Amino acid sequence: MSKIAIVGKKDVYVGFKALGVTVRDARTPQAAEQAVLDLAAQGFSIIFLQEGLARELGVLLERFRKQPTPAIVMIPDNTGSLGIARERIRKLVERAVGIDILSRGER
Amino acid sequence: MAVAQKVNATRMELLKQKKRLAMAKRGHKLLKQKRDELMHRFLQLVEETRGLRERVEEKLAAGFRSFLLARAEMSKEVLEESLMTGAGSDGMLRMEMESVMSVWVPRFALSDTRDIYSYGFAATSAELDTALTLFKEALPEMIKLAEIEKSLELLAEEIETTRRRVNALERVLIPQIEENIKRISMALDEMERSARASLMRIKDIIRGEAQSVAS
Repeated sequence: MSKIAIVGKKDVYVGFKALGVTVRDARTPQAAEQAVLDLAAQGFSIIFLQEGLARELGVLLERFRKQPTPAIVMIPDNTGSLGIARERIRKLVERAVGIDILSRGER
Repeated sequence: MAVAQKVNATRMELLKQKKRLAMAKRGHKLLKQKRDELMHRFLQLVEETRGLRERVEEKLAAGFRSFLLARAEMSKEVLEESLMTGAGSDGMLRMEMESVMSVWVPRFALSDTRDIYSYGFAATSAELDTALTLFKEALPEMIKLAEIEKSLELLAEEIETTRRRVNALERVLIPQIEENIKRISMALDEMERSARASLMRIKDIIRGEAQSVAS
């Protein structure tokens, strides 16, 4: 059974609670890490994570990168987007495309 | 230059190495095609995620704004009570795995559109309804975003390993086998020449002896 969860501060998750999304309160990156690990162990397939908390959780995100689930997705909080999610995608593109462009140049 | 391993200079070995070369070249070609196709899919998804993330972030920002207004209008207790009635998310999300170029990526779909206004209308404000509607609209797109971002992660991984394999074949294995083939054929040629030279020498000796016997 697939489930959705959201990790973050109250302002972020409270609206989704009414939509039936499981919520976990986390105000610090440490609390968020614990919550994500916990949710992943429970088999949640999508975990929305407040962007500001994800800043220091690169190691954690890396751990779930190669697994099909859970998909950890960053969402902005009520102060607006921090661009961390975009930065992650940019890095992925660099990994997949960037190195290849270099090796093509060598040939 | 690749360092060739020690191989026996025999015709058997030559045939074997030639077969290996054909196989390595075929594998190289296939892997290259796989890498290119993966890259193609990957870039398509990158394009898709860009617009999607923007839309999601806009919707969420609007939702948070409405929510702030709702909170200003309503007492804290009533607001929390109104929202905390939502049940767990069991059965809301359906997940299927789909193969994209033999990479298994999850596909998500919302299976249940529940009534989100699970509270009375008397004590709550219209802004709360607006906020919830915005969140509800954002949710399917957020799920789509989760799906695409996860696919990107998995595809990026696969592209990297495929590229490594292509490079290993191209720069190590294939040159190595070619070097082996060159060495063996050179050694075989050399053996043939020396065999011919000694045959000619022997012939000369025999002819010389025959002539001396005859005369």
